Amino acid sequence: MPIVFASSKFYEMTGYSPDEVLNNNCRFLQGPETERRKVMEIRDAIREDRCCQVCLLNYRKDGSKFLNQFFLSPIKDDQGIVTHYVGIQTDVSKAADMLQTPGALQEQQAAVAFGQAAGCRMCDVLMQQQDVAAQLHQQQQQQQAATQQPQEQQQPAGGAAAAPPQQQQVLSEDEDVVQLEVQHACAIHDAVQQCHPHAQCVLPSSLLQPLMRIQQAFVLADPRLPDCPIIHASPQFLRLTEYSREEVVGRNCRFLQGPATNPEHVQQLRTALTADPPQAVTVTLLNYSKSGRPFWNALHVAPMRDAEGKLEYFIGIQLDVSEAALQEENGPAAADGMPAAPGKVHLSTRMAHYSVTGAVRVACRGLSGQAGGLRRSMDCAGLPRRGYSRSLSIDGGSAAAAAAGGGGSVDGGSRRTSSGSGLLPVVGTSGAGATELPGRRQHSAPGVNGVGAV
Amino acid sequence: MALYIKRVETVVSFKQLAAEQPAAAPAGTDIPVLEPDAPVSGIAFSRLPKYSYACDATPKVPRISSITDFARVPDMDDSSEGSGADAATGAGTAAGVVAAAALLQPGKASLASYASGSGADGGWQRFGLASDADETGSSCDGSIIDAGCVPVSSLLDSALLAMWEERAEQGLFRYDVTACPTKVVPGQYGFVAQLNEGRYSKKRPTEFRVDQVVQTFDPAKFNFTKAFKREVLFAFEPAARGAASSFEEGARCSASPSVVVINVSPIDYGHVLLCPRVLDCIPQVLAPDTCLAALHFALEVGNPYLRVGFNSLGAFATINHLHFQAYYLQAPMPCERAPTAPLARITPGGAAAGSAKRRRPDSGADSVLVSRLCDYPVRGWVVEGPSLAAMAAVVGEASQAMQAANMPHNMLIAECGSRVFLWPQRYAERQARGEVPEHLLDVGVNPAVWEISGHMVLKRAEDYENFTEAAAWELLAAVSLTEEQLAAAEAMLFGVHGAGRSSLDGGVAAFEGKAAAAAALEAAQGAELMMV
Repeated sequence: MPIVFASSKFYEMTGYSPDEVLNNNCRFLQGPETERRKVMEIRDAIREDRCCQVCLLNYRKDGSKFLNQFFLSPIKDDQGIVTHYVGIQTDVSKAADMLQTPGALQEQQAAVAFGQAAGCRMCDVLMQQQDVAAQLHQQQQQQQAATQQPQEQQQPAGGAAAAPPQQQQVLSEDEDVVQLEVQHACAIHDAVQQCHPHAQCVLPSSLLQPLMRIQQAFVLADPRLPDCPIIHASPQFLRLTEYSREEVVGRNCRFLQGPATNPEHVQQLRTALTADPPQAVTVTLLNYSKSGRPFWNALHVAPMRDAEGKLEYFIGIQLDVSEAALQEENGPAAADGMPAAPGKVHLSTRMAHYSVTGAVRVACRGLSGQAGGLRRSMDCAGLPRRGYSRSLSIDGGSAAAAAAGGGGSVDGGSRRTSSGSGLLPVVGTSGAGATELPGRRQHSAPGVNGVGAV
Repeated sequence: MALYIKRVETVVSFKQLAAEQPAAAPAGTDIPVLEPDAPVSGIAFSRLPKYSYACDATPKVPRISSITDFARVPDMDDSSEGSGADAATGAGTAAGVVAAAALLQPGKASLASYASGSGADGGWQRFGLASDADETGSSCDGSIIDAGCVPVSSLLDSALLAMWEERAEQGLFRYDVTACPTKVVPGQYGFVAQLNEGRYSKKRPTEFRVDQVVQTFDPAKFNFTKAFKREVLFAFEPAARGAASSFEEGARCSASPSVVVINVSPIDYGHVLLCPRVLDCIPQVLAPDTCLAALHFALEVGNPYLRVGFNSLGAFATINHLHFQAYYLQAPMPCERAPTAPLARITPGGAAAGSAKRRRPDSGADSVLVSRLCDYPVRGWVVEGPSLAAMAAVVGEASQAMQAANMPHNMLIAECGSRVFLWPQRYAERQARGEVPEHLLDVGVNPAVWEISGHMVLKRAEDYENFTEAAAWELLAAVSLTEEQLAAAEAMLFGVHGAGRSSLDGGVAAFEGKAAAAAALEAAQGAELMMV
């Protein structure tokens, strides 16, 4: 979660410069003596989309320590979606020294003292920071709406430092609104780096955070929505396919198919994903980028379950193995001039597929539409916990279908799957909870033939 | 009279369910790859993926020998496509990360960045710490890396997930653990409950001796040399002096490798068992060196949602062959939320376990902080320290003292190795004496380290539906030592006298001298426990 705005007091307090701070995580304030449990509390507050207040030891750029009374609060937009986190830092070291209590209790007592004294002020600051954050968000949206170019979201050439000064310029008029800047530093973290044009495609932080960690091309598709649209695409996917996020999110992956895509490959995907229960599948098929460039896509699609064990998403992981195909020289070239698909999936390709699958499985395990999954039900400071917003526009009976990554007919566009394209309704009909999936591949039990029985 | 309880052991390998011994392993002289169905006993010198972890003071630039397709892993926050000058290779993000890295504390292990797609040159990034190859010599020695709010996926993290997922697709697990409903029980601590009917084997209960923490290794019983080769994921070995961590897809393993195997009855995703020096057939006891291996494992994975746990015999270890457990759970363990009160700073020494000489005044960089876990149903300690080696020494020595005192105990490594929880427990003893209420026994939960940490695996749907924080608390309270017993244990293990809930209170009765403490401990536990 990068910092997109920091008050001048923040730079003073920590000793860093805007270049170093902006678009980095606040993690750099931590050090060897920072209490791990406090760090965990902050991490968990983000995971649960709630605010938190901790007093922890931070380090300035020069290595000196200070006691930081840290207050974190989510900022939501009008749809209730968390867009930013505001972090407010107060240096309470001097006051803590004055309390003259032995080390470990200092933090707690300082926290209490300052929490009470600065309580109302914190709220003031928070309100003002919320205004700033809201304006920031608005400004970002305006930027995105202004042009249709796919690179609109990228910072202008010149590196990460270029854009923030723009934002700072806009905000400088508003800085006088932040009257308490003198006493409190603040930094605004961008929770949702990406603009989600479709409300139903916004993911909770507890899923988004782990997804943002994964440095490979992949998409998440929601089979419970009509036509199994993509709800999340990683930056590497966008780079690989040359599409922008708006062009991708909300659509079924079949737009990656093209004239020379072998229908048999597509059929393999379809068969596995429409089975009951859906099976994971790895297929190498020809896909096309936005500019029409064909590439061999080693695609792995797997079903993901939520905390209740119900089918939640499909994940599709893409690997461009065109070079491997060229090297292998398997038989005659296809019509488009590329050699046939690479014969075997290399171990490292499999590892790449499976590591992403595993990481997302762990993340999805924490989700649950109603109960909140692995997030606690209690709220902090009375802030309503953000529920996971999912569009319920599923017409009864007609199910979401199609695979992530190329399934479906080339001429598709029909929401209701026709027999021509051969896609059958997958689990999730009428939204009444997915069919309970007993397992993935056949799992051995004692006495059943298969691995393990001797 | 020895104390026994009837218990159904958890099945960790399909070998336990197999009726007969499999055929003898093929001679592995010129064919280095062991058959998947062969037992682990034949694994010496055979071909296995191997993860070598850095454990030296000055790591050099690593060379990744085989996995080349792993993309470079920049700092998590630079993953947005809009943050770099060169979007294609993320070179802009590298600049941003290097800038941030230059500011970081020197005491961190550092590895060179790894260019995506290119050959095997260069290292890989961990925790978003980029550096040039010659970053100032960091005192690695297992020093704790700042885990940060949301760490970047490490190589071992990715490899572990990948291999586990692959085994799952091959159908090597008895059930799909991701299909087991799980939830957080309402309450402040957020105990995690899971409904898992498949974990408990349907075999008949056998008798387990629960009053002996140290028992000799019995080759006739199930142990990990009998597990199937296909259940082994990789070897986990210390790297050569000066080398940094690396992963090889196929390496010749040593005469007695430390291996990571899957648990075919997983508690949650990624459940594996770390078996140090598996062919040496070490019984299930902790020692400083094996503890250090477990700490390194936690550190190398670098994911705060993966913890490493240990159960001694009598504390619901099911197999008397040294192993640590680990799995992923994307939520804090309730014990991680509990506050702590500092107890003492211990410098690990060569002093014998239980010696009063152990405690020294707060000395330099190597002193480990031992705290008391507060406001938690199971009383115990938290060990935090500057280096893995120091923590391993303190925890290992404490465990050896508990072994000597025949005290069953559990250990949890959390926060990527920066916090270690240590709990002595009494549940089996109470159970054998009939002191546990019937309704708790009916739930059928054996409170091992995961239950004590707050992750409850329940067998019956009605227990799962109605589980409350109070129910969890009640169960765990039956596990805990009493305050007096714990204070006596503290005196014995850490030489801490007069420590109550907080060393700053000063309001607890003091024990005088080690002998008195040990005697008090025995009296408190009940002498009959020691009798055979």
